[in-house]
Amino acid sequence: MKKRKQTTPLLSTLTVSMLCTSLAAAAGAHSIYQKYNTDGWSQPAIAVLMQGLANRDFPWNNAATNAGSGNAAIPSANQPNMDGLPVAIVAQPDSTATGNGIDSAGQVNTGNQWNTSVGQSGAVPPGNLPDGQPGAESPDKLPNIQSGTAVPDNFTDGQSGAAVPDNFTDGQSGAAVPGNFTDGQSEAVTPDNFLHERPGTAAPGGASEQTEKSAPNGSSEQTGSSAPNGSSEQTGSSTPNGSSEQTGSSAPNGSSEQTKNSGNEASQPENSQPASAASPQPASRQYEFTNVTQEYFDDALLIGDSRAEGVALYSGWDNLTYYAEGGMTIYNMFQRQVAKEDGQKISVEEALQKHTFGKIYLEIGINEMGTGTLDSFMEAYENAVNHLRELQPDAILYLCGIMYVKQSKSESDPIFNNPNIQARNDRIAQLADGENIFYLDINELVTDETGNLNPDYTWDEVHLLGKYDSLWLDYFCSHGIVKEAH
Amino acid sequence: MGLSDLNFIFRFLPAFLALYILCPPKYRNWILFAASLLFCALSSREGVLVLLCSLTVNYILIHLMDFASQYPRSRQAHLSDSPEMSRDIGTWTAAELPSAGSPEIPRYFGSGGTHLVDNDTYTRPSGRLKMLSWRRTWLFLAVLFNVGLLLFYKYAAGTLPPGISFYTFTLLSADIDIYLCRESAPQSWLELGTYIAMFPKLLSGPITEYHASFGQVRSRETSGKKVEYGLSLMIIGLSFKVLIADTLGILWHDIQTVGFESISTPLAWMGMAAYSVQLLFDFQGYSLMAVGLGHILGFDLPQNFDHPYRSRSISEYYRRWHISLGKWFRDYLYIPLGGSRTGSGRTALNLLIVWIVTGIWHGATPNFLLWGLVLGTFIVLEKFFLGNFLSTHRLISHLYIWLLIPLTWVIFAITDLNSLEIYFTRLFPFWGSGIAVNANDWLLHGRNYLGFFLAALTVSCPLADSLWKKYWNTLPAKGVLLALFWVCVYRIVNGLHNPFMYLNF
Repeated sequence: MKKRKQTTPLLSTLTVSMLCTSLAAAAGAHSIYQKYNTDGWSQPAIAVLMQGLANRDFPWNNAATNAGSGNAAIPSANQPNMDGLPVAIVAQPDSTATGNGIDSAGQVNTGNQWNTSVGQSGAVPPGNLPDGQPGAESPDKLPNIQSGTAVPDNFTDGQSGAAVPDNFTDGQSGAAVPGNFTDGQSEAVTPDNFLHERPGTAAPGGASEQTEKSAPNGSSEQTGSSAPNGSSEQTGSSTPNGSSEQTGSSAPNGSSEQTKNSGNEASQPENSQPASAASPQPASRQYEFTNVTQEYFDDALLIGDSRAEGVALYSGWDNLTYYAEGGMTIYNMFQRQVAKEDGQKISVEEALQKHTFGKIYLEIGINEMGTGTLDSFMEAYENAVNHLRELQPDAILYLCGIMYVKQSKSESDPIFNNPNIQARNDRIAQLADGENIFYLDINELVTDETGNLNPDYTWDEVHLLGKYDSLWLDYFCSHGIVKEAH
Repeated sequence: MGLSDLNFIFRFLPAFLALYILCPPKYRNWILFAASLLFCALSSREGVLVLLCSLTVNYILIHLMDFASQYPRSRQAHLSDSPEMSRDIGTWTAAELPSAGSPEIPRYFGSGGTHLVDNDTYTRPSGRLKMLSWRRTWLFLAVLFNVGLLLFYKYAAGTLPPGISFYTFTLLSADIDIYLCRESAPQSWLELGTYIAMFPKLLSGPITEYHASFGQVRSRETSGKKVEYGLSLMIIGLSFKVLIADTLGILWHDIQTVGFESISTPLAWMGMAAYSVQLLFDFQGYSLMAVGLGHILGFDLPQNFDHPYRSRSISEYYRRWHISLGKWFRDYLYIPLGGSRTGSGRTALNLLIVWIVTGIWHGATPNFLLWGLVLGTFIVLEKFFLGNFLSTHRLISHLYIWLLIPLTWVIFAITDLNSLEIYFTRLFPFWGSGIAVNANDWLLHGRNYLGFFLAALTVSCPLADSLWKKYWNTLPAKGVLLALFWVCVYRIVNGLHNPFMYLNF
């Protein structure tokens, strides 16, 4: 473009496209992209645009959001990934005080998302919209929401998210739906049927972000008593944007919402007790761990991330069922299509509806470390546990504490370090009731004298080497629960 | 900061190019030098100090040598005859040219012809023999300083300053070339600094030889077409690195995560292939980016790779792989040692010495020494025994390369000798059976990576070359390149190394 007299089409187009996308990214960084990791000055703005693309957050989604007045209401201090963000970018409407800003932020955020989609469908010709977003759908959505029979899941997203740092995932799921652009769909899905229908509609890979918040939220409403649910929906029906989330949040999950409101990770463990299904019955019986043999695992299921996948691949035991895959998180676990059924892969949700297991081991949590807070993680974890209990009421549920990482990683990584892991493990352990739900901590077996993951057991500082994956099963064998009734 | 960093592509490069293009040509070296220092500082601040220190010491020694020669700077003036210099220089080429029959030589002398100055440019200083001893002293000091610095940082210091292996070799080439009067000394510290620290080649080469490329610092030209070509090369290089090398790197990473004891034999072979392809495309891609960037700035940096896997012998392979390093070792080590003109035994020894030094240059762990030794041994064998057989058996020679070279890359890749042994027992499972091996693991991985292996194969075939030569300057090709660029950017952000993507576990 600027060079000599000859034409330089590649240079010109490259320059123009870089300029345009950088401008779009810089503009979006104030609003729809503020939830992504921009890492201060250390990365060019284009990075957030590309992260957005990966989650189908397109720059034009922002067309009608008017500089994202509400979206940026995240308290930046709580957002681990945004620590270094330039003040000019984050600080914008950060006026919401950390204390009471949460709910209002939730409102604004949700409203904003809602506005986004409405504005979008209004402003952009339908032909230009991402598929699944025809302008004609939005009128359908409105009545749907206002009818009170359905709380759109992005309402819940907003509610649970906006105030919590975690909401960048929420935002993702709300504003931009990976895989199938199902903004419209997701808004129309009710929490009640969400968990059952979503697995079918969601794209296997891309849907993870979308579903990760909605599933737990959906299930929480499900498992919470029906009364508050109903009331929240009614409230929701009167005002599509605002109070519904507030009510929704306070009713079924009130305690954990409050925990979030405090904005501190170190707060109120008693509040985090599962509100509903996990609470022990008065006449509960407490069981002790005993040694068991391999046959014990004939009706056992191991659900988990790549660490559990390692067990599946390298432990050599094939009498267990494994629903395990790298990248599985507490937010997306029910939707991941990792269960093999007649040569096809179905989602964990479907598989759990089809099959009955006597024991379920849940090994999950390391991938979520970079996302959200302790409280938002635990909320999702509790919801997942409750949902597992619903689906498999007779199964003994073993919750595995998150395995530590190697010392060098723990000491150098601001997120994936053992104190952070232990904080989550402490909370996971509180979910155990000694009757149906038990807590297992593999770290007893795999740590060295420094209390970190034994360096001989790992190459990448996070995973066990294949030859040590059987340690999980050794540990399970020495920590079996045998109920006479079973 | 490397050439494939987002910060480089979206911040550093546009800002630099704008400045560079807007400013008058006589200040461009200043801008390039300052930008190179900044580029280095963004990787390591200490590295800039080391670079500046090395530059200054070399500049002083170069000028002492230059002064000692009492000799006009312009090359045209190099017209005298000194018997000593004649022995120093003339015999190198005079003796090597006839030995062009040896497999290492003809390629450079025959086709390239630029890396060694023609015989008639090997001119002699004006007979001040007593100054020669001083010149030798300065050269000795320069070599001592450079090698010492490199060895110190490779073996004693904890961290390696960015690009030190590469710019030290370029500096050594400058010292030796000026000692040999192959090229006039730099007129200013800035000239030498610009030449040595030039950011396109600072971190990973190509290593340039002073006599062949220093002139470009003084005058260079660029044109619209050259800029377009340079950009195209940059995008191709970026794609090689980001799309192919980095992706296949994940497979190699996964294999290490599982542990070599627990991989099946097919996966061991697949991992070996993945590492070999990753190494080629990573380095080749980076070199292409450097060369392309050079074109944009008006430099003609030498190509570093020429389809090494089309070779039919290991010695040919290393004339096509990291060409600039091979040439450097040949011109500044192998030939001064006597090359292949001093009898078979000495030739074999020279080759082994070159390859052991090459191994040591690559790294401080014993596996690199082993790697150099193995290659040196095979090259000696080829020179004296296998050469004829390989040249007459086309298929066997190709299989020989495709099998042997990846095996040597395994030695290169695995720095711990115990692990190396385990890997070889997995490759050849006759001596052990592994621990907790999943026999089907290669199917799981194969599904994910087959496409990338095929892509690497496709872009390496001769057809891709001819298509590129024919069509690179057409609009459709530019459209494809533009798209490739954005795919790469997407991949850089959302790929393996992005700290945001913590979902890799």
